[in-house]
Amino acid sequence: MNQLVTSAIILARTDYGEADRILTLLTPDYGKLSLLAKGVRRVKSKLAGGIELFSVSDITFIKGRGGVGTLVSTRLVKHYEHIVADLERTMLGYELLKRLNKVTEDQPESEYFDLLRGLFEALDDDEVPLAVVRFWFAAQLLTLGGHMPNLRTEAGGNRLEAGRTYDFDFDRTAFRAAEPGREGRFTADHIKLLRLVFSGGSPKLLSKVAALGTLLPACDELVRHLTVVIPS
Amino acid sequence: MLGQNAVASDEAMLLLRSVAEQLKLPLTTIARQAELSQLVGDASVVDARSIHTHAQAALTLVDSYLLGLQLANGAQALELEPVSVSSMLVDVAHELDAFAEQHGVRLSLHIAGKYEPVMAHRQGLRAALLSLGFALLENYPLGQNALTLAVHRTPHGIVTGLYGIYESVSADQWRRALELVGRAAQPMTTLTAGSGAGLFVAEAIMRSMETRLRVGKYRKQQGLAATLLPSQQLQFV
Amino acid sequence: MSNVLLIEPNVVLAGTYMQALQHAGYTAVHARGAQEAVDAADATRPDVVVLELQLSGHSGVEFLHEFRSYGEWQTVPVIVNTHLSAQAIAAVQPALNSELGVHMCLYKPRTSLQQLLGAINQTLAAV
Repeated sequence: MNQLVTSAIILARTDYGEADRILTLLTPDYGKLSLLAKGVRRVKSKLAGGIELFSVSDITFIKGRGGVGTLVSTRLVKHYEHIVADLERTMLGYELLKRLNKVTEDQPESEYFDLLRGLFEALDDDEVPLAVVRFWFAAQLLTLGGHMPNLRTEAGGNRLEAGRTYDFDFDRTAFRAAEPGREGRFTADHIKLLRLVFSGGSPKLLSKVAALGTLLPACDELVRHLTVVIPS
Repeated sequence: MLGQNAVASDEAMLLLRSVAEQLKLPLTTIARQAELSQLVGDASVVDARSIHTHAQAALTLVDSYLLGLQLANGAQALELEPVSVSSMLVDVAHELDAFAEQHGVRLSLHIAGKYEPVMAHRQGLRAALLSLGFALLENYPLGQNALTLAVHRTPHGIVTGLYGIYESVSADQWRRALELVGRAAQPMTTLTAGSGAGLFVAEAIMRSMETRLRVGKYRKQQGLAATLLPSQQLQFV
Repeated sequence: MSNVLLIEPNVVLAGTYMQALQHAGYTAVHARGAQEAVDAADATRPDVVVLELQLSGHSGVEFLHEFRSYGEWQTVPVIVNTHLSAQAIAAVQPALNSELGVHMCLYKPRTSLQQLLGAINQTLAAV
């Protein structure tokens, strides 16, 4: 039997039969895996040791027929312990893990593994506000799902201009210049923030943007509206 | 130099906050153990009721201090809502009752008439009145035995406070006491024997609600009270 | 006789709670941390769990996620009795209730033994 080795992040664990558990893991090389941890009795199941949440581990497994493989061994590489030291961070972590699990029902690319690891890094850093983590994560999901908004040109095709303000046209997933005499909701600074987050700017970098507190609400709301297209 | 002091002060504040959080644990342990001895009828614990009451009073002070910090630094939003001062005073009196009894002080409630609700942070107002109450009761003047919780109306608003028979309590003494907090062992000797922390915790909470504790008089008694603005909301109903 | 699993990191305080629970007629087991609590739950099949969220090592929330991942523990009621203030848990309390089946949240410094016992009685009566 070929044993395969890869990095993995655990997404969920469920009971299976009398003494087994099924682990759902995200890996960079094999996408999403369901692996049977055989004979793992509850009394021995550990909250630590490579199968705890908010960790990156190296796993050895055997591919199975019909979609469920068998876990052979795990080795913890990194546990993001600061996440669990804070209640709000923990709950956000669980919420976004659950979200990612749902979004990656089909075979996901390796970028989803990198996204999840990036999420853990951000949550583990208490200098990154949770609102920024949430905003960044939603934007990355949109990007990976191919649902990025047009941040270069207006709905009509003209380039976005620094001196103008805009509103967002959700039907065309693009900005539209504000009516003359009216102030649009989005300024050049809003659009710069959106370009930064959709080009993969890290949460740490985003948290250092000047006037973030003023810019974030509108940008976050835009991203949340776009997120409706993604299963949640 | 000022910058360094500011940094040191921030660090000292963070450490103090951490200490305050930590103090909750042994105080809770003491309170629950005292309660247990009463529950199971363990006569070996002398005066378990008093131990329990004092531990809970200390916990109230710690919680009130932490709340004041959070309101002051914006960690907790100052959500103002219509609050019935009369109901609040009844609740506070109930909470202070056992402590007052153990210190030989009779609590009096004076709520003459009906008062419209005031705009206040409910939890903050309660914490402030309790902190004030515990601080005043702890070293109540010898020979005096009544502390009054009162609410009355003035042209400036609805005034609520705690009053007693004190030798002299002046606005000047109170002003100086506020300057001496944390620096003098006894900033306000006319009202308390110790540091009087509860007075100043109450003041800090009141300040976050845009009001102040002031020296006041109520029916020949002196004390500390705050003026609160009536809620306009119900006028539109 | 109902089984209570008490998860409390402070052994002295836990001793007080345990005596109160036993005095009230409950069978109680104490666990100091999350893994010990999983082991204890497996051994004793609790009817209700009383949980401090701030544990040493893995947190109370981590325990809850592990606990709820097992079929027969998905409906065991959990009462959170914690040092964390109401404000500290306000943002996550809805998720604690809906996602992790927390029946009620109590603020430990202000919850008397009588109140805790009352909460346990009320919770078991509702099950």
